[in-house]
Amino acid sequence: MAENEKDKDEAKKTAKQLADEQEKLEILARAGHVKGEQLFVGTTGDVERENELRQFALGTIEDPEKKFDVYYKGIGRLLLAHLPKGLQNKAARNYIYEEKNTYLTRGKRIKKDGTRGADGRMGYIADAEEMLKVIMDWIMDNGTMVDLYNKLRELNVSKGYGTRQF
Amino acid sequence: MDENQFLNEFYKMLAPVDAWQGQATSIKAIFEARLAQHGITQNQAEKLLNMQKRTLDGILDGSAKRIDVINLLKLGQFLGLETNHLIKLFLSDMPADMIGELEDAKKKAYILANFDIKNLAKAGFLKTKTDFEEIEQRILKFFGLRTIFDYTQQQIIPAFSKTKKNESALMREFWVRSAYAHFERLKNPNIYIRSQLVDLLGKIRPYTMNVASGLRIVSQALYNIGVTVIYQQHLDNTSVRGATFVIEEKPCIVLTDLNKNYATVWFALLHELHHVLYDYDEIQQNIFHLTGEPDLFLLQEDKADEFARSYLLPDDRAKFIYKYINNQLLVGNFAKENQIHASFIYNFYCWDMKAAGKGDYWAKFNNLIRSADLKLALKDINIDPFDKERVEDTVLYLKENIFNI
Repeated sequence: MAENEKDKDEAKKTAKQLADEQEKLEILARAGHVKGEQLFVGTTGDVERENELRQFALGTIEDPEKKFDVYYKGIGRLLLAHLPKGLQNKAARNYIYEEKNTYLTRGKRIKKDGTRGADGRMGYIADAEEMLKVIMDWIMDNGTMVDLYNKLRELNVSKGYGTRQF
Repeated sequence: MDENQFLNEFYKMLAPVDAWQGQATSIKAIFEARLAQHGITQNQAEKLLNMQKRTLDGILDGSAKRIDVINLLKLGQFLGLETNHLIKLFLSDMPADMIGELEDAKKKAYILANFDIKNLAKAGFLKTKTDFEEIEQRILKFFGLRTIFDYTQQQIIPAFSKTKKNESALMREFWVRSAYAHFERLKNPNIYIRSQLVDLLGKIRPYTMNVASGLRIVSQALYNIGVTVIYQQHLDNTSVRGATFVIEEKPCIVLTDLNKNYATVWFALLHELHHVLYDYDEIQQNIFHLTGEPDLFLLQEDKADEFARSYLLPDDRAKFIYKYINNQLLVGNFAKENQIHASFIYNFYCWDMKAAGKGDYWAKFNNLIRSADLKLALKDINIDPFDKERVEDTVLYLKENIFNI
């Protein structure tokens, strides 16, 4: 009898523990998805948020050094490190670079004569940061080269940037 | 003859040969009764005791400023009184100023036994190490006590045993009592409902990026759902990183600036919130729980750390970004993407590398870890309680400026 009750206690305990674990996972998952400050705490909090907005707006004003960093130290370095190397992969790499450059130039495709009429390095910082994020996500998801291509292609399509004409 | 035997022999000598049987109202009354009993004069008694008249009179009428112990014991023998009985009678006749002196000595001994004067002065709580009058006043005023002895009167804190306390235990006790006093006077009017905390917990992370007011906003939001968070400076000789109290059914959290590190403060907050959610009953029984000190109640410290860790930087994400730890741009973007302050990543990296025996990177990334200005983060909630004259002053400030009540 006592044995039985003990067992029941154990079972109850583990059930509670399981529920706790489950709840914890849910909290962590929600924390992973939350974007931006969402707590409402009255007037003082709002004032601060306005300031932050202004700061954020100012932060996106073009900055040559930052642009250089995002393009070379960010996008460039990551692609170099994570795309397959070697001559045999050069064509595939170029597909990806093309999608990237199209996005960064807001839809300028490379022409048959090899000119584009725009330079990815000179695009908007906001675009470059978005690109960097896509690449980082791709690496974290352990994606293949095709995955990255599809992602970039989708991104371009969603913005209405056309396909290559040749 | 060892020391104990010697003392025993001595105590035997003190036992009266001819014990006093009658009523004992005062030393003088018994003395006169003895004189009558033996049919001797005071003069004879003086000779018998080998005492001067002035000395004897001084004891009998309580006029002597200082009394020789041997003389008192000799008289005790003549009166037939046990030593403690003799002292009791003697004290009841004692003049008021002598009682005052005794009380003063007791107060000082109490202060020495319950406060670590040296370290409290170092922490800026005390301005003097020698003026006990001032020290007493400071403590009385700060805690709002009637007498200094009330400091330990409140039996709120079961974990502090009455056995001899070392310096760090004294500082820890002071820290806990101070925190408790603040919570008690703050009296958070909001009702704590657990599900609201679960809900709010999901939204805290982005505020870590807001160094200037993130901690304050989160503290306000927690206050509104019945969880009181205050900051109390870390005291030397203690290694408390944070603490959770349960007072009147409401969770109360104290954060410290141990290691003077921005990430540590947030980590401590999440660690304590885990305790609130999953160790509430245990803490309620014990009233409080200190993090960073040896675990007194065997709470799930590992789990609380693990939770705080997964909350701020899950393992798989850490693994990714550690590879690019030297690329400030990537770390910065990654941090923004994950809604945490970049200093957390460097902090976790150094910690993990050290733990895995892969090297000590603290010095290398020190500047980046310190890039979050802790002083700025604590500016609004850094009330520096030990700087204020009274606990009430701090509480008033908090109520007006932070909790908006």
